[in-house]
Amino acid sequence: MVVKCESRVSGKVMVVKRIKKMPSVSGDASDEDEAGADQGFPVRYLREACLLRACNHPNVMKLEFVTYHEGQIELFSEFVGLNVEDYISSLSDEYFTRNKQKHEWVLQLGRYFMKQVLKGIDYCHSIGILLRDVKPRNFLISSDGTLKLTGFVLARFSLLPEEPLTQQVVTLSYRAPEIILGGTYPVYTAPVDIWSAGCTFAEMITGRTLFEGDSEIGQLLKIFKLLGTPSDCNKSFCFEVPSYIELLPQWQPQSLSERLEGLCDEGVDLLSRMLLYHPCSRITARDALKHPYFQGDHSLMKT
Amino acid sequence: HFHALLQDEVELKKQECTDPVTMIRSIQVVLELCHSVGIMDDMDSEVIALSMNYLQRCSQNEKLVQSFRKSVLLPVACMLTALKLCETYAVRICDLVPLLQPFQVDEDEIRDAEWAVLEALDFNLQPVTTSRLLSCVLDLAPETKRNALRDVADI
Repeated sequence: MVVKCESRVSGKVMVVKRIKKMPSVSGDASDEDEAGADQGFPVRYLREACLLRACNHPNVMKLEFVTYHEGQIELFSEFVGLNVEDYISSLSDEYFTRNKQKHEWVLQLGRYFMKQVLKGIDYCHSIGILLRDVKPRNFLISSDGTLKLTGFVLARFSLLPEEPLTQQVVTLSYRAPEIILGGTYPVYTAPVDIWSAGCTFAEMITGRTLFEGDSEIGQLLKIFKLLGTPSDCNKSFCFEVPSYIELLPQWQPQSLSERLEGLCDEGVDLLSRMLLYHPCSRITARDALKHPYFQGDHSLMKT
Repeated sequence: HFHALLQDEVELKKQECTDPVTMIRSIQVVLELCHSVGIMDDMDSEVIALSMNYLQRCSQNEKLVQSFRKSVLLPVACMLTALKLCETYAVRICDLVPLLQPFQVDEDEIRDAEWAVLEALDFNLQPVTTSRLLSCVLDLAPETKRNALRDVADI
């Protein structure tokens, strides 16, 4: 449960994430998953709190403090505001229709937001945090237009050498192909966040989810239809290529500029670099911030 | 070997945990204990290093040390926290209690110690990641060499 609250002492407005009481040893088995069974402080919240505590950046939500009383955990964070997904949903179709003045504003907003998304991701990667759940819902918009990254439940400190990790990360629509194709325990690292950021970018511009599959195979089909079925060379990014891949149609890559109407050439180029199949070829957050798409003054005009 | 370790523990029990050497020895005993009953075959060096780091930081907090008179509680809590962060082994508190029988600790005491450790460390539990290590190296490098080193780090 997440609720908004105000400190009686400082007057500061915060959000508090309440996690239900941990069961006793003889407690209800159904509660075990949520509360971490008989492991004391639940692992997932320990990790979330620890990761948020490790971050200190204007584009990452700040964890104020954690309380733990009689088994109930409360994570107090700064209050930010609406998330990007809800904000996009609140805009009318006119904002996403080409040649309309409002669409021009959305294109500017996309650039303005995307720069902050990449700054937040770059910071996390620079301190060794793999986010694993980058999506519009996990970016909150503050009253001054600053975007703040949240949603650290699936995040973790990255490993070197890389070790197989769980496949059950990243919301399906934003999940990188190397995770989907990587078997039960795929090996993946920071580029999975860049793929998700690319999907987020496209969604900000079009108002629609870029790849919306209803299953893992459905998701792959959506990706392949737009970006083309990967060649043999590109398949080398997979940990263990499933046999059904050979049975899929050989789609040719479609034009991203057609799909993202109105987006400038630099923007399309950046997106295409974020959505490269091979993780090693995919642009890094730091290099993306140096991309021509972000050069020059791109302050947001008012509507 | 297991029984010999238990004898060691009984001796340790008599000491207070204000002595860092005792604390480090305590955590070694705990790790050995866990290993001897086969619940931590995958125990890796990162867990041990983190446990030691937490223990060292906790030992500087006099109030915390004073509040846990049983010498084994803080090491166990530090180890439990490190295990969770590294996700090496999902250890259950109820499994730890019989292993620590000579110390006569119960589950609630371990839970309390765990929270006290987390609170004392203010959730600053992050391991030294490669990225962080490289940043430190870059900071220490002479100004003239930084760009070249940064290029190497990027690769």
